[in-house]
Amino acid sequence: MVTTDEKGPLTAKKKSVIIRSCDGDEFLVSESAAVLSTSLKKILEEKEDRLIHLSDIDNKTLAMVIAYLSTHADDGLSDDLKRSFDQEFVSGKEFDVLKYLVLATDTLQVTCLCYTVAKKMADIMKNKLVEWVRREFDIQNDYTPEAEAEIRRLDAWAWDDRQLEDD
Amino acid sequence: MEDIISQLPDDILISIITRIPTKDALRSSILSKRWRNLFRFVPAFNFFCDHRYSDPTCHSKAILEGVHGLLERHHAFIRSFHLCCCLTESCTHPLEQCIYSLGKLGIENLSLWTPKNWSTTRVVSFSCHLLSHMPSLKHFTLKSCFLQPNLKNPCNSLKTLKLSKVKGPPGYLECILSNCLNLCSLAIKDCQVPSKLCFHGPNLQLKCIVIHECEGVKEIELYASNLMTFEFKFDSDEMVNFIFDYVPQLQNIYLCLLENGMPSLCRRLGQDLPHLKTLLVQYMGDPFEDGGIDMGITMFNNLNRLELNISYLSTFNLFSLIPLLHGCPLLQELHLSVRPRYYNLLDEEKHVVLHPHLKNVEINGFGGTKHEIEFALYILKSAVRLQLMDISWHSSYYDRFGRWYTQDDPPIHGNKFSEIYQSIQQLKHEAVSPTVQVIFQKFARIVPKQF
Repeated sequence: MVTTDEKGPLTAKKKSVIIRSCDGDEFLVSESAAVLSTSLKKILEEKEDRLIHLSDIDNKTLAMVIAYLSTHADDGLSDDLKRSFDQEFVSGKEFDVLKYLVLATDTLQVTCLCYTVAKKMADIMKNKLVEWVRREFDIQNDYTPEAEAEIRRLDAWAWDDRQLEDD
Repeated sequence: MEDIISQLPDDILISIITRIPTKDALRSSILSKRWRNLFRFVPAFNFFCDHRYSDPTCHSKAILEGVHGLLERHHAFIRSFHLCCCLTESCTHPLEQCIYSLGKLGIENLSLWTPKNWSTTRVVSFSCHLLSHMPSLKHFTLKSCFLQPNLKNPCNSLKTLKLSKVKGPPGYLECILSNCLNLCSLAIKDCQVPSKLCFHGPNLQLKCIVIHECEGVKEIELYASNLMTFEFKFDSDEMVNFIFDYVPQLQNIYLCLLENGMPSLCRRLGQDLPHLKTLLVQYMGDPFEDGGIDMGITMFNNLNRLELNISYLSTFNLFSLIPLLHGCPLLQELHLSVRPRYYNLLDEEKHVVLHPHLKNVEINGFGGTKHEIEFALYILKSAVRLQLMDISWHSSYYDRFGRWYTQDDPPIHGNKFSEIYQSIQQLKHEAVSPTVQVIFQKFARIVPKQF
């Protein structure tokens, strides 16, 4: 769970900050939500500026991250509600949406969202044939057939594919 | 469509493949050259042999040999290793090899399991001297094995140990206790134990002891100067004798028993453990069948939390609990889950005894009968500083390690819900405490107090 420094000078005041995406749109965010991101917290501690420009996060992704931060900063919500929000948050999202999300959480250092998204991506890959993963994510196999056979030979015991899904 | 996943930075890809079974993670190395070595940096291994139930034909030996090969070629620390496999006698050697490798890879959290219904006479052996080869091991869970008590060097890192279905020669537990000098928490479930189980020793650091379903145990003797929490669960009619020799720190007791005789048990505990702060009792049957507790006897002078889970009842009288509450003058929290088929409607006069410290009362399995409403009313009239009364339709049951779960009772229908809701709203006006909150909901709001 994310913890915030309750006594810190930033969280004590009910202030807002403006975050600008790389598309130029601006989002008004409460400071208590913003500081759940370790990087935003650092920026806010270092400078007085209330406008933060994020040059590598687009509108759509930023809006999702902010929705997540605001929910987790809401003291009125129970941990159970936050957990079910997390479940909802990642379910049904396309893989490339998740990809931008995980990159953004990595940049912003929102550890628990990064884990939630990585877990969701892992669930997609779990119990799948290598061929399925390659097809689904369009991964180019750049091994020579000999090199691939060599890797399979090395850990032959792990290549029992009977139980794996290919759809 | 471009390859969207391979562009992610290494640490994110490693973080993703750490979250899938290690066998799948290993297979990811064949996706493309980009993925070739990522697997070698995964900090946690998680293996399952694909058998949900035990299968003697499982290639467990080959799997362990394969895992050992992987460990030997790993590039990063492995902090956590979880294996669930049909471990037989033939796995003893490859398992030892894996342990040596894990010791070098900085293992902290190790669990070795077998699938459900694992029953074989040829169980794998685990030699205790292996513990001294894992200098950073903190948490260890071991299931279905024969423990060889040949630990010669002390193991100073181990903090928690869980043993389940473990067999061993006499004295195997003593061997662990006298060599794992920093062990804080020990849980044994369904293990082979002597009829007299002793926990003693001048250097015993144990803070928590949990004993579940260990057949044949008749007496448990505790001489443990640091012990704070003790849990005992036994689905048997046999009486078990607890001897609390020297447990000055023991504050939390969790007992799940079948036999009757709650009054004498409470008197014993009260006498032996005057410092008790939390008491949980789970009973199958009416704890007061053979007689109640005398009104006015103080049993637990320091108890501030009482949890009662009484199940498999035909009839029960909630007011038989009052002398027990009265015996805990400092009680702050009461958690009660009872669901008998009928309540005893005894038309007796009820004296209101004040419970001045009671702040939180939780009643699960509330069916809205007249008797239950009277009991709730009694609490509201007697607990002058009550802050919260949390009532739920579904009952709850105590599982273990401090955890409660909601019972799968028949659901409550809209009319019945609003009927009970209304009567509880009425009660509120009769509460003595001006600030009390009275809540009625379908499901028990279970606050985990896991230890």
